[in-house]
Amino acid sequence: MITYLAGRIFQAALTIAVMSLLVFTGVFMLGDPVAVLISPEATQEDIARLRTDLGLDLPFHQQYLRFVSAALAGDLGESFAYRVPAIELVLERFPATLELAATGIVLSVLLGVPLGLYAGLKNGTAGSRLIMTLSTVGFSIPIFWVALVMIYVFAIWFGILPPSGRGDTRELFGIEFSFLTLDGWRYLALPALTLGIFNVSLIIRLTYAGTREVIDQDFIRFARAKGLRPRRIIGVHVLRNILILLVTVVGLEFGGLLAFAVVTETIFAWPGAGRLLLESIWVLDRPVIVAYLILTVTLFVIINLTVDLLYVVLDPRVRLGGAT
Amino acid sequence: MTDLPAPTPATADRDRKLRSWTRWLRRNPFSIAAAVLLSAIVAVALFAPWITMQNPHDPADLNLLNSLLPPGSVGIDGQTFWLGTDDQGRDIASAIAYGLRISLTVAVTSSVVAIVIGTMIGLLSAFVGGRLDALLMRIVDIQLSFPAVLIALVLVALLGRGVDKTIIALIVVQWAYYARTVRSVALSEKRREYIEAAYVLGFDRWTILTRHLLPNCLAPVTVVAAAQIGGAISLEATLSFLGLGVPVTQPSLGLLIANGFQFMFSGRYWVSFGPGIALLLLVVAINILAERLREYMNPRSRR
Repeated sequence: MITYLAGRIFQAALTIAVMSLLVFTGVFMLGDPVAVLISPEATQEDIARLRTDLGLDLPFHQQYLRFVSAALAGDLGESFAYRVPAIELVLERFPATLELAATGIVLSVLLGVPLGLYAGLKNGTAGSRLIMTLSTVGFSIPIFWVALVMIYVFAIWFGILPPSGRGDTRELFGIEFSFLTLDGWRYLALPALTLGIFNVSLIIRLTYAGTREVIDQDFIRFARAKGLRPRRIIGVHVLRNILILLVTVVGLEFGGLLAFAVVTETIFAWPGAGRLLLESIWVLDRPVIVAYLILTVTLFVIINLTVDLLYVVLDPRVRLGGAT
Repeated sequence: MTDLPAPTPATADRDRKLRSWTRWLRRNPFSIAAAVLLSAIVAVALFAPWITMQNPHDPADLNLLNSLLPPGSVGIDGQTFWLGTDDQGRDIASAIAYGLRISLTVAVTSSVVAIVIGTMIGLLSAFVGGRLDALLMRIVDIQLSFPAVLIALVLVALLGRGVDKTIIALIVVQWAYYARTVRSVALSEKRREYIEAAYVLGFDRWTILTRHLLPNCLAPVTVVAAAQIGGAISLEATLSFLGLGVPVTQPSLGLLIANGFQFMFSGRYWVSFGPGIALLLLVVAINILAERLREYMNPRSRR
């Protein structure tokens, strides 16, 4: 177990290192930031001074070494646009993104598991078929299109929910949250629902497939023969076996949600890290792009690691397989 | 082609599979609807210049007096705009037909190239094995642990706007799925008797790889490809919607939707909704067919 853990952690660290090199190389090729930063009246000397200040006159490998040693000290450079440390800027925006993604996940589990379970248990009925067809449709809709339809229906047509912004927040543990105020929920509802739709479909399909696979197995037949009530069979025996699948998918999809949050936040003007990334891409604010990507990569690697470990805890077969 | 050995049992088997798949499809009315819809959409894209009332990219065809007309309006020259017009007086229906061409070109081109690259890498990985296999699959694992949207977003941000650059980004995003699929199939096919027999018959490794192993790995590739192409269309639309994909001069469905977004707030929904519904129908049709194909290929769910 310890060897396995050590191996996985080493792998995770390696992934982060490789990705940091890729990200840096990529962003290095991304145009000349000086052109964006400086005013049109600047003289040749001003431009040269700025280049030296930012370290842009150094060769690639020296810039990379400077970047790595600074990054290890927690410094990912200063945002060109905001003139504050990039890492602070991203970290400041991250809670809003995490709140959005977490709400999306909770919504999709609350909707997806019961629907998928129903479709799986009543397989072949009209209701089951309807749910599965709708899940194919939900799976296919591009997320930005869902966002647009939501805005049109709820904000413009009915005019009951605001189309953009974040609304009132309340502080908890020093971080501002929307879900603690009623007004916050009004702003949170549309973007969170938009983010959740794709996952509802995914969770429905997984729960459906999992239920159908489990329902014919011996231990369920045995539980039935033992005279257990259906509620207990479904609640304990079926759900527990689907749980393993769900943990994996919810874990992995959380990363996906962070990525889709870029799209959702941009459309709903939600002040999160994803929107910051897109704004930074538009104005070529290199340090912010790098800081966002490095943080996201780290977060992803941690999520993958956690999912792997949870898997070991939840599924005895993996544990036994690792031991032999 | 005379040096080709007689059709192996495997290819004959594949032909039979294909025939029975079309028969199976015919028994499923829902799938037929999707197939008809998809054919219609592709036909509209192919024949766009002959069936549309105007060339939406040609300013001479547009009249500003026709701008922002709701669906079904009659324009100043007496023509009917069934899906309305945009702020330039452009017929939305014509814009959709031309936009479909760009969306489909980007998705199909990138998928084909990704299939070729991914299949080659997957085959190589399985066939050579050892360190090369470990390295290639490590790269695939790392890439697949990141969501496609994020990788594509960063790539187009680095490469800049353009049809060619969007295609490159989509290829990079997709190849890994094919590489992983082909490798896993090739690994199990490699140990089958017909490969051993080919070795015994004295065929060289290249012939075995391309004539024997490759054809038998293609069935799963079609399943992955069918599922991926819908994703590729959505992804291109997303990038273009965010202003990072195709250029303004070649508007795909995603860019058309983005252009209409600003008019939605004043109630002119049709500028966005026309292209949006076209995009939705296209992707849903493809995904329904992809799902039927996957169900069919999975013997456990066949009834």
